[in-house]
Amino acid sequence: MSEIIRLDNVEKYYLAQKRGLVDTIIKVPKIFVKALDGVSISISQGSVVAIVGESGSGKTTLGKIITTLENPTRGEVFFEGIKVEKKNYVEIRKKLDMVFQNPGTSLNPKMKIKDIVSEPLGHFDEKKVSDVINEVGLSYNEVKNKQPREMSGGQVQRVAVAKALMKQPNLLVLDEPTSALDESIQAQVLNLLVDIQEKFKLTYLFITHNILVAKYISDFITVLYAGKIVEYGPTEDVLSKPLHPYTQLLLSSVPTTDTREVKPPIGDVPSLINLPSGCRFHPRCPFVMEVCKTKDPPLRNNGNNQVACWLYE
Amino acid sequence: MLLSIKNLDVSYNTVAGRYKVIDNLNLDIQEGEFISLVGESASGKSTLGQVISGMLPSVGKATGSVLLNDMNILELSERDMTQIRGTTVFMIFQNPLNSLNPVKRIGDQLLEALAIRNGRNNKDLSYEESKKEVLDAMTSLRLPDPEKLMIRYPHELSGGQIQRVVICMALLLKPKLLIADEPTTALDVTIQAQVVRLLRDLNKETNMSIIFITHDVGLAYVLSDKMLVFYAGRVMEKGITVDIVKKPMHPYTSGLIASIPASPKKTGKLYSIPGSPPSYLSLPDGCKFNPRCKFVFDKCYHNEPDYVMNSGREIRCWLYE
Repeated sequence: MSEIIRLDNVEKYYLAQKRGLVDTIIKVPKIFVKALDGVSISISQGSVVAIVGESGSGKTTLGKIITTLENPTRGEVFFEGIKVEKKNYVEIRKKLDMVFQNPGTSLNPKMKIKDIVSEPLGHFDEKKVSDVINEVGLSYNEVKNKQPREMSGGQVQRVAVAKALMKQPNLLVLDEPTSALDESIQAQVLNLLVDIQEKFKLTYLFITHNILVAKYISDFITVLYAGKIVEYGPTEDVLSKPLHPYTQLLLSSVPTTDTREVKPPIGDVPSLINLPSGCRFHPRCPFVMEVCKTKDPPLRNNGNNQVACWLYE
Repeated sequence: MLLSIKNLDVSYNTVAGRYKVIDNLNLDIQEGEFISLVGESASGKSTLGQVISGMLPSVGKATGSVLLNDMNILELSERDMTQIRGTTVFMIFQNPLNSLNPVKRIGDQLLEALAIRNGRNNKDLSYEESKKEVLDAMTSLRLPDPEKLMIRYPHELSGGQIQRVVICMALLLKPKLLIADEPTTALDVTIQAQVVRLLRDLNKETNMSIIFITHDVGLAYVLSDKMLVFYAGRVMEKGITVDIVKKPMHPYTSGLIASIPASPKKTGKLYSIPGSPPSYLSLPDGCKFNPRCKFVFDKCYHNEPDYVMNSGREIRCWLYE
């Protein structure tokens, strides 16, 4: 399996405040929001990688960097072996696409479905449009002249998937594609996404906060916490034997129909401006040691998983 | 009996006509019971919460009887309703920021809630005593640095903290019935689990009855004793939570539970209920679930089933006649 995308030590800092000329002249120190800090990940062709984490953990920023919507502050991104730079954005963007959380706001409400789906082509090709719309389980003749508001949430999300498939991308970044949908509709869309992935041998980067969805769809799972990868590995291994204390507590916070107990970690997610020293999870960690407070653990191999925790040194 | 709802119908008048969003609902809640209302969006579960707290929009019309502490809520005037809101029935909303005043300090809002409770019970507390009670309540909810938090404004807090402040308000007002309308949907899963634990402790320690409205069957299973499954304004199944989740009987309930992803994709396709929920303006004849049901037969298309008692629960399905 060849590698489709690789991130090398990617950092993304945002300025926390607007900086005027006066601030620069009197040298007010810059305050950064560290959305991503030293993230390295490699995704091979044809696999489904889920990115899970809480809000503010940097999962959407990671998706934006991979789809070239944002530039990393530091670090390098390679797409099919080619370094991603401003001058080859156009080429790279032809080979990847993104599906957003809320299809109601990411699709033009004034356009007809057939025009929305054909837009990436640049011209209207009825054969291709009807093929791809039928592919996502909608009937072309029924929906072609509708507008997004005339359709239900699940149907509009199918249209968004159809639009993303139009360019025949190699990589699809799906940012919470099912979280705005009801359970019974979510199951339909997930099945559709699995079918499409298998049929076209696509690579998915699946961003979600719902661990059960990640468990169903993904081959590999990446757990992000406050802008850092804390655990990475095959989904089965990570979910059945989570190594990092955060992954363990995250999993035991999910209400399921198996157990009536939830065991959440104490405290809140840290502010990305004033990150805790050492390991970012140490103020909430039940196994905290002295070393955790001063030194940030690196991501290391442990069995099939990679984990960033001093417990496994 | 704390709450007793009999033959409740709710309908909305719109330009497109009149449509029924709750049909013939019966529900009894004892003191200290934890009940969850489960269903997809627009299934009528929030409307029931609004009826009980007397906040149905003016286009809505409710008939039947909703007896809370032997008072019929549907016949109460707005002024009488204001007297029981807060201390008898308290509601928590999905977005907690909208339920706090953005220009008043957290502490002042909590003190105000306490003053209202004491005013209604004809008790008089000094400022120091009130403040101590507020601080105790905040500490018991594990809010960090209560002293400092009291002088802050709602926008300075995180979502989980604000939701805990709202729960703290409930703790101070000591209502008999707490209605929580998707209180954790806007929160992260770890914070959700913290809030869930708080609500369960509140229910056990103060014997407060809680109605928990959610779309998440897993969450309802973790929390509640009894459960009502809503579909298109009808209660399709009602009974003990554990029984329903472990052995669903109505085809909709079993479909809903089967569509929760629980195993990896290689173990097979995820079950999904075909079609989508109906619009209230064009509900199907007969059973409202018939276009999506896999056990559908002739009778389902013509007559709507009434409640049937079967293995200790109420089900609206012709299969169990």
